[in-house]
Amino acid sequence: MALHRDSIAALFILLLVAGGWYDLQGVATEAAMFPRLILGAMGILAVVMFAGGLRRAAPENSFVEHARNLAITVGLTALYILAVEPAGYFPATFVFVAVLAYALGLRRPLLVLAASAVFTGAVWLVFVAAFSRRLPPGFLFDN
Amino acid sequence: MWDGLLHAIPGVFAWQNVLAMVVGTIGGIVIGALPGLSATMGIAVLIPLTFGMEPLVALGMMAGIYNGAMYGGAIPAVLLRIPGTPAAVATTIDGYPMAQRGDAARALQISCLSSTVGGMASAIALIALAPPLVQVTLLFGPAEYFWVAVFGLCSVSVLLGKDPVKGLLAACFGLLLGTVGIDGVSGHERFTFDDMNLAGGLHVVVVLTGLYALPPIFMLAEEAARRNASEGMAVLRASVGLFHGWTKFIKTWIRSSLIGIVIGILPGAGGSLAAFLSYNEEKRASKDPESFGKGNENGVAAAECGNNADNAAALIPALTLGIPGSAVTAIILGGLLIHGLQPGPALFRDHGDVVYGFMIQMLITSVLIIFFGGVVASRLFANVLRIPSALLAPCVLGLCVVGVYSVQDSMFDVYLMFGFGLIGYCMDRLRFPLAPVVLGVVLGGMAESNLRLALIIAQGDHIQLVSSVVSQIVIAMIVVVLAVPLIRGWLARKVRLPQ
Repeated sequence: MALHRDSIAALFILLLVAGGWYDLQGVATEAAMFPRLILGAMGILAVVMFAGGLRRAAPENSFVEHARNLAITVGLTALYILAVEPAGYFPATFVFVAVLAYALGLRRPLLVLAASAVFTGAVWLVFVAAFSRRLPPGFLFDN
Repeated sequence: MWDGLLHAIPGVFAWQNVLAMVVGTIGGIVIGALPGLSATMGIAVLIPLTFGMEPLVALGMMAGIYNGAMYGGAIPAVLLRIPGTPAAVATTIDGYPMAQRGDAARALQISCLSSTVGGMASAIALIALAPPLVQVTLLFGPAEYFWVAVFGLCSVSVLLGKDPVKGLLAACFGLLLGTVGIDGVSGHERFTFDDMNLAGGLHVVVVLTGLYALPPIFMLAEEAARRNASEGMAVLRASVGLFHGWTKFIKTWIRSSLIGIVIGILPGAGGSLAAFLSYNEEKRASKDPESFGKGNENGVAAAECGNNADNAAALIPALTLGIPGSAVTAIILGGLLIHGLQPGPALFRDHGDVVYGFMIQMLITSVLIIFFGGVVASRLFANVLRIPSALLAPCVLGLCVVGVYSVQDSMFDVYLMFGFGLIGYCMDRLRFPLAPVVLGVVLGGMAESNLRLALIIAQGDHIQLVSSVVSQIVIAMIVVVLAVPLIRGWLARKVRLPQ
């Protein structure tokens, strides 16, 4: 019999509790008291949630609504944030906005490129020009 | 109180503050009108931008976003039956049928006026009730504050969402996140995994942006698959006669404002509950309850007025006790802390000009909704609502990255935000409420420091934690809040059994 999602989530929480408890070894009693209180409460609640999940049938709907789009978005976002430091915020963001919009099905290249340029321009205007923030310049613009 | 108000007025009307309120209100209406974006997210994205600002400028912008977004949620709710904010769900019940029969402009006008009235009533309640409540907080010592923090967390955890166990687990998760870093008393590292980036703890903005801003973006991207990625959306027609027939709503506004204010003061109840209770009460009091759900104008007025009457009232426990009544007030509380403003009696004594100024800003931004919502928004949203989800998602992601990076000039924070975004998405899918996590992070430090301080004062005697009358009252309230779902479940079983 398939476990209910709640029971699976409860098992993850119990793992988190065990890991947290282990990590607190060696920490002074007074500093560990509050986190241990929370971990104890989480452990009890996770057991209650696990038991509650056992009494229910596994849901039929899928966990994600549209796996392809979610995978594309999460994957490209991961690549984007990894690229921000070496490539620089503005080049990386310009490419990211255009590529993700296209990948999600917006097949109007001119609109996509124009929107990407307007967005990065607006961010530059607000963050750099108005508020003097220094964003990652990347290898192209790093002095 | 009057001295504080009079001192605050010149500051509020400085041109920078007026500009901040205007920009915030417009931005809030835009954010609220975009499905998937919320006031919580808007303010979370904004907070890093406010670091260099004067507190009143930053708070004026937050007040504008808060009030604007709560009204803005009505626009897609009326036009497309998509509530722009969770609190706008009740607006769809009669707003959408009105739009279907060609009265979209009228429905939006009613929403705008009702939001303004509700917001103003709420701001006046904030100004009138917050200062006297400060005197009450003087009765609170470390032990009492600890129990108040526990009460805030328990009430939000139990009242938000359908499953109190998940709510409490979410609150515990938030509290645990709040303990990451070097312990301020003993100097021991907790959950840092020997990484220096974690030694200073998790910045509240990083957690908030990850948990609140990213999951809706992922869902927006998923939604792009359902709809044609480049299709346009509905266009609003120009409307006239904003104040036409307003007198018929007076009773509705009074009733809904009172409900919204009371709900707002209760931590965890939120605008959705205020809107639904106001709507139900309006229907119950109506001579023609059958017309509700089929485009009744009073139904729209009640839902929107109740929804906005919750706004400023939810700040009363936040400013006086440090207990935010909702997720968005938790973030505003975070914004106050970032600007060195500690909630409680000292806030009114030491920063009276700022806190009273903020209250006046809540009132002014409520009025600004009439102009920007009723006159400007209809034209603006004809274009903004046309932005395809496929384009909106990457733009908001780019904004989150720049916002979080700017907090501490740290890419590590951006990686953390992404991680919290994935956790937030999973929690959302598993129907864990996210607000208790936010409250846990915000209240965790207060709860722990007060607990340890109380134990030090009591020289380790745990009985002292429950010895004062105030502590006992708060503990009784905690017991009642935790017993509510049990009683509700027992009653539901009792009703089902005879069948």
